[in-house]
Amino acid sequence: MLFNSIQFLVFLPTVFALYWFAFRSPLRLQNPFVLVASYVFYGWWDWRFLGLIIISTVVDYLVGLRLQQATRSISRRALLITSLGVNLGLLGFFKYWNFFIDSWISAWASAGVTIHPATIEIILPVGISFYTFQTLSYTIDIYRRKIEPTRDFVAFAAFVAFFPQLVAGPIERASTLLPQFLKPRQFSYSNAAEGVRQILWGLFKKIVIADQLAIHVDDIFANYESLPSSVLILGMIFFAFQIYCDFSGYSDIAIGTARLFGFRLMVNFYYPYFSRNIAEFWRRWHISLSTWFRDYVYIPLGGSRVSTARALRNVIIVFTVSGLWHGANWTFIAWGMLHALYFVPLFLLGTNRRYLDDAAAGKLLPSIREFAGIVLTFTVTCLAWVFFRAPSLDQAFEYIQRIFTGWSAGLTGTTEHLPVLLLVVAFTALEWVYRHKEFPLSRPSYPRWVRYTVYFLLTYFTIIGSKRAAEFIYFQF
Amino acid sequence: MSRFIKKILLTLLAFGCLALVVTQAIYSSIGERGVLDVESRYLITNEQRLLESPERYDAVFIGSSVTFRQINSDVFDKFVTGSPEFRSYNLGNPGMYPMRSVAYLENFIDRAPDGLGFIFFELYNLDTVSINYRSPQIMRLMNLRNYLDITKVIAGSNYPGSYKRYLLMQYTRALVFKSFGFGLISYFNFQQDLKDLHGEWIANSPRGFYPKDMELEMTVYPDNVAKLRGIQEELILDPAPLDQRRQLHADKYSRAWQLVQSPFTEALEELIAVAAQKNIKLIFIMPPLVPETAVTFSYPAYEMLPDEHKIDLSDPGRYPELYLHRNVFDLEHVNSTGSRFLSRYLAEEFNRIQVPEQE
Repeated sequence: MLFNSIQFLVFLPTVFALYWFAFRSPLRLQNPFVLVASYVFYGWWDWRFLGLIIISTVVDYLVGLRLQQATRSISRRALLITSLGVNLGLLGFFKYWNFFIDSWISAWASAGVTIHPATIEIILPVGISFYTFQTLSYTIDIYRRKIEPTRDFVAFAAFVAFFPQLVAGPIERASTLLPQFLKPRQFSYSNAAEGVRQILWGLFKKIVIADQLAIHVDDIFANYESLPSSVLILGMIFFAFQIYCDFSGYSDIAIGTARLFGFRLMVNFYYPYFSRNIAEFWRRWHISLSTWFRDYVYIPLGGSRVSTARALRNVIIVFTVSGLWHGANWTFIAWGMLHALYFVPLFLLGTNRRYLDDAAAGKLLPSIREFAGIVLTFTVTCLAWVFFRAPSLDQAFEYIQRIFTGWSAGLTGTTEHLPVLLLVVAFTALEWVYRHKEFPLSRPSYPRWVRYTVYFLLTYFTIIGSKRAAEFIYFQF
Repeated sequence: MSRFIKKILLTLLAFGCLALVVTQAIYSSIGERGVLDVESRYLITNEQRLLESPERYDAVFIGSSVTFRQINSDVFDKFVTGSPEFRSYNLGNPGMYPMRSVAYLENFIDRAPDGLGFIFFELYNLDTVSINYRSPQIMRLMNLRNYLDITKVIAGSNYPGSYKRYLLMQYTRALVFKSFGFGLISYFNFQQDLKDLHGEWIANSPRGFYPKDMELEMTVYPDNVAKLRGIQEELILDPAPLDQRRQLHADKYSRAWQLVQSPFTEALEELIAVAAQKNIKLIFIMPPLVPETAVTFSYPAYEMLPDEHKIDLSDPGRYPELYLHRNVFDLEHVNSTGSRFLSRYLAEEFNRIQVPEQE
């Protein structure tokens, strides 16, 4: 079920009303209801893949309990490997099988050997990368003795399948979300109102900005061979905002929806395009994933507390794996490695932890140095997005090459993209003004008539911008 | 909690009323003609070409892809007797359906070029709404008056009860979506691929006729090739539906139709009178190959029309060539060869109804 669909428009109020009226207390009713609602939400897409979630849930629940009982390190390690094997095995099979087979065939073909292995059509189950990482964090944290396992199976199953963040995150940690399932939720007016505002903002970003940009991006990337540089640059910028508004819009709706049910999810995006270097960008973009890789891949590999060469290796591994997480294609791997390339100089110079505050904190405008940093970071990020968006590496390289060689036509063809460019500029300006808030509509302080005018305008633009519900980009990952 | 729900409901109610008012204001500013123009880019360009042409045209064809893809003006003109200089022009536009075609026809009669003596109007399907109730085509023309008319048309139709309920629900959704402005931005959306395709249609169809097999040969857009080839292959892989379609059309003459005067049939009769005031004769065509829902909707209406204003090309007994695999591109359109047969038969029927007293 999509957040921007008619079905969800009926599903959410129904579940909300039942949750707070029929299943308000005790806790033993609330969690089963959340679990059933989450399974209905997921099963709406394809009920057959519910089996995968249930397998992950049961395996990690049992492994968690056994880990607590096991005292010998070999047994504990065996249990951890079981969890990793099952979860990553399912993920690997459903997401990467064909990629590895195709790459294997290509590798042999380049050596002049043609092979014809039996292939199978595999459907990628929506959200598998997200819930797999979420359940893994539970087992790994128990293994590291950071958290205690829960004996409440229903609460754990509800934590794994919690519908607001099941299919596209944020990827929650057991240490923060699971305890929320183990205590009764109380309705809070201000929290629910904040949730509604965040849902509205997320829908606006998805429907009005991302979906409108998608029309232009699809057209530009499909016809890049015949378009001038100016239009190709617009296409690159538009995709940067499309993917940002699409994914952060989803996160906003997820966090807002969770708030309606008395849960608090982590912030997943924090104005990433105002980052002054690429390290800051990764502290603000898809935060739940980048911190997951930091905690469960980078640090176990030794992090930065090893020799420079090994630390560099760790950085490159994390960015490459992060690229591969996004999809089974060399373009995603190239995207990840490109970010590693951007990051390495900062790492070597020791400036990767430089910007931990907001840009131009307490001021309206940034300094020239900050502004230059923001522009440079945005530019290199956009170049990397070309790899993310292009269907193949060849096309990505060709797209970028054409940006530098297609200037003879000047600004021809840009006028039809101007309205949507103005939309992007207005959106960026709004985000800049409210960059100190979790999201621009959060805890508004201006007069009621201004607030309601803004809410109406956002609602109305969302209505008139709607078309047939378009999937969120991150569903495919 | 109840305070929260009350506030949300009141806010939604207030926003709903406000959205209704703002949307109606936007529609008023666009105007009905503007609404048609925005939607029918190809049709308007094609019509402009006709109106600006130095040639004098005697007849135009109005309808959906069934007209656009099947009526070859060159062949038709050649077989029209009694007027060696007779010239016709195809104004068919894919995606048309009765409500939109009638609205367009009303509009076109007002600005018809001098000397135009005949308008051929295709009878088709009410059912287009079921696949695109949120499509701009449906929503743009939907208002309360149209909605009430449509409900009467559905009520008086020969459709089974469950199908009537289904159609009613789809049109109700279209009315709600239209009233609150859902998808309004897409009215003005930039759709370069569609613009390019329409440009290709204009370039390749000098008099508005463009059969699908010709498009498959001439189009330069790979997506379009793939789409057309896919449609064509469906029938090649499974030819049985064409035989069923032939049987459907053969059987319709012996079915007991309930003939009801509805806003649709009234509109057709009114249009005959309006056109006559401008010395234009309106002739309705019952096309071949159309699906069951189209037959159920159009054929009873066709039966009620005066004989001199209608031509039936759908009888497989009289026109077997129009149902042969070699003459058909897909389940609803003949190919170039089939269109030569169809255009010739249309001209011959036209000749016949023009001189009934001689028969």
